[in-house]
Amino acid sequence: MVLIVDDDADFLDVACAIFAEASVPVLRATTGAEALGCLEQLAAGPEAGSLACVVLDLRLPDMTAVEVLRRAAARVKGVPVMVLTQALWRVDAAMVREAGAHAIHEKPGKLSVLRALLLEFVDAATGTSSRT
Amino acid sequence: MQRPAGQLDHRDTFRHSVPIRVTAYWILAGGAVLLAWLGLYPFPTVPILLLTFGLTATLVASHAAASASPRVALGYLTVEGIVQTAIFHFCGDLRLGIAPIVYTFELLNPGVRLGRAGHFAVANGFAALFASLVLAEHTSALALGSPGPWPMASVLIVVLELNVAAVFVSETRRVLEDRAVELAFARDELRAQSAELERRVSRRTAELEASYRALQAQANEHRTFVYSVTHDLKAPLNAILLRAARIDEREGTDLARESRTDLTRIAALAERGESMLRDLMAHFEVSESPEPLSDVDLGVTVRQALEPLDSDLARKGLHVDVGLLPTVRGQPKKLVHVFANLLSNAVRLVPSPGGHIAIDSRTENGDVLVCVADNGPGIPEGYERTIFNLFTRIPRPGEGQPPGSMEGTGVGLAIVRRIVEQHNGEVWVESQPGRGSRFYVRFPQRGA
Repeated sequence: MVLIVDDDADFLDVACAIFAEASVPVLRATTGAEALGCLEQLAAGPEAGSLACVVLDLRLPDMTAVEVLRRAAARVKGVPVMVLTQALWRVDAAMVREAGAHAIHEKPGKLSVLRALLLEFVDAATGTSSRT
Repeated sequence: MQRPAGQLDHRDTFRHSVPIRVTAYWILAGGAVLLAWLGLYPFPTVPILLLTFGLTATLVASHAAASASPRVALGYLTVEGIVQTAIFHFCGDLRLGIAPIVYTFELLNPGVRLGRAGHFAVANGFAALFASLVLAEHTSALALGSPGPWPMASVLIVVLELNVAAVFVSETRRVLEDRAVELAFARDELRAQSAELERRVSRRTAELEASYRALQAQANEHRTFVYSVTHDLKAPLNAILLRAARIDEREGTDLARESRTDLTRIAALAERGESMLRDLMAHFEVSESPEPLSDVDLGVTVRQALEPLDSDLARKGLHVDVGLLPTVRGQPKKLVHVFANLLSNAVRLVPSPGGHIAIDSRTENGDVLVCVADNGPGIPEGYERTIFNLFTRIPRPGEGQPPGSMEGTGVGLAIVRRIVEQHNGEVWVESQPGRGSRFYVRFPQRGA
């Protein structure tokens, strides 16, 4: 199960399509609050522990990725987190990593690059190959 | 506010002493005549009166003359001394007459650091002392029964000279007090002025600091604005690219040829928009971040600019001739950016093999002129000026490029011009199609 959080609906659509085509179950959220809600539900429900990894946009309408990670620290402990952003040069990489992110990437514009980035991340998190 | 300068002058002091002396002389003379008339003491009245008249005349005359010059005053004091001496000699005791001569000589002594006033006081003090000794002698002679003819003359001298000395001393004290007050006043003025100056300087500094902070804040705001705008513009362009690619993936092969071309074009345009933004961002970063000025060795600058191009140079088998380059005053990182841009353009455009790039410099009217020359395709006529405009690119037909496609985003040279202008310089190009290009950068004279 991958949790992907982004307020950019287009990006979310394309990313979810990529995961769907690779048969990776996906949870989507468009705000920080939604994301936290999803994490809570997941932890409480029958699929607890099935969270493989999280793909998180740096800036969400209600809070930053760093805030999300801090608030959900317990929920994402041990779970690989990738932070995506449009503007890599504006990121305080150290602070983001400190908050719990494992990787920070600029959002690729090329579909093939995005597909590779997302699926390789999931593979690494689950230790399997999910590429079709 | 000006305090009157007190300057102790022979003239003032002499003038002060004259009425006192004259009055004292007459009082004593009167007293002596009275005593003689009353038969209490055998004062020789005629000589006394003669003496007193003589002294008065001398003093009055010299008082008048003293207004003219200190030297005249001195002269008259000398004359007075001689007259007194002569009279006393005539009256019987030469020693009494020496007193005035002593103090006159004292007056003429230039070396005493007490100043003229001190001089007078000391001289008259000595005269008084001398006279006291003579008086003592006469008094003891009197006690022994044989008084000299003029013991009272000694009293006269003692009184007079002490008077004069007192006058001088008080004059001196007055002048010193005046000067002390002046000094204190001046010191207060100075302190007040320097406090005012300090206040003004610190107020100015605060103003300058405030306006510097305001400028910094403005620059930061500006930067944030540019960043957020480009960030916001990137997202939809990114989305266009992704969705176009999705269409291509899903139905690309099923699309009609024209639709396929349109789709490809959509993606290409979105990509170009993205790289324009990216370039704009990177270049904005460089040209907006201020650096402190320093002496920049352009040889080092060019070496730094060539570093990232090493692999391209190797791949194309190119060599860059770097001549002797001067040192200019400027912002180091920005100058690297300028030459990096000019050189990377040249490297990209020169033929391979056979490409040639050269950088050298010369001085012209005190300005430094640096030239980056290449044997690339050159620039079409009419584009020499517009090539430096933002987002202007030029078509480069031939060299295997499909017509209508252009490399680069048109940002690089615009930023080069901006940076060079920030250095009060000028950048331009001389070129002909097929004959290569020569990019010139002029740096103004040092200190200009």
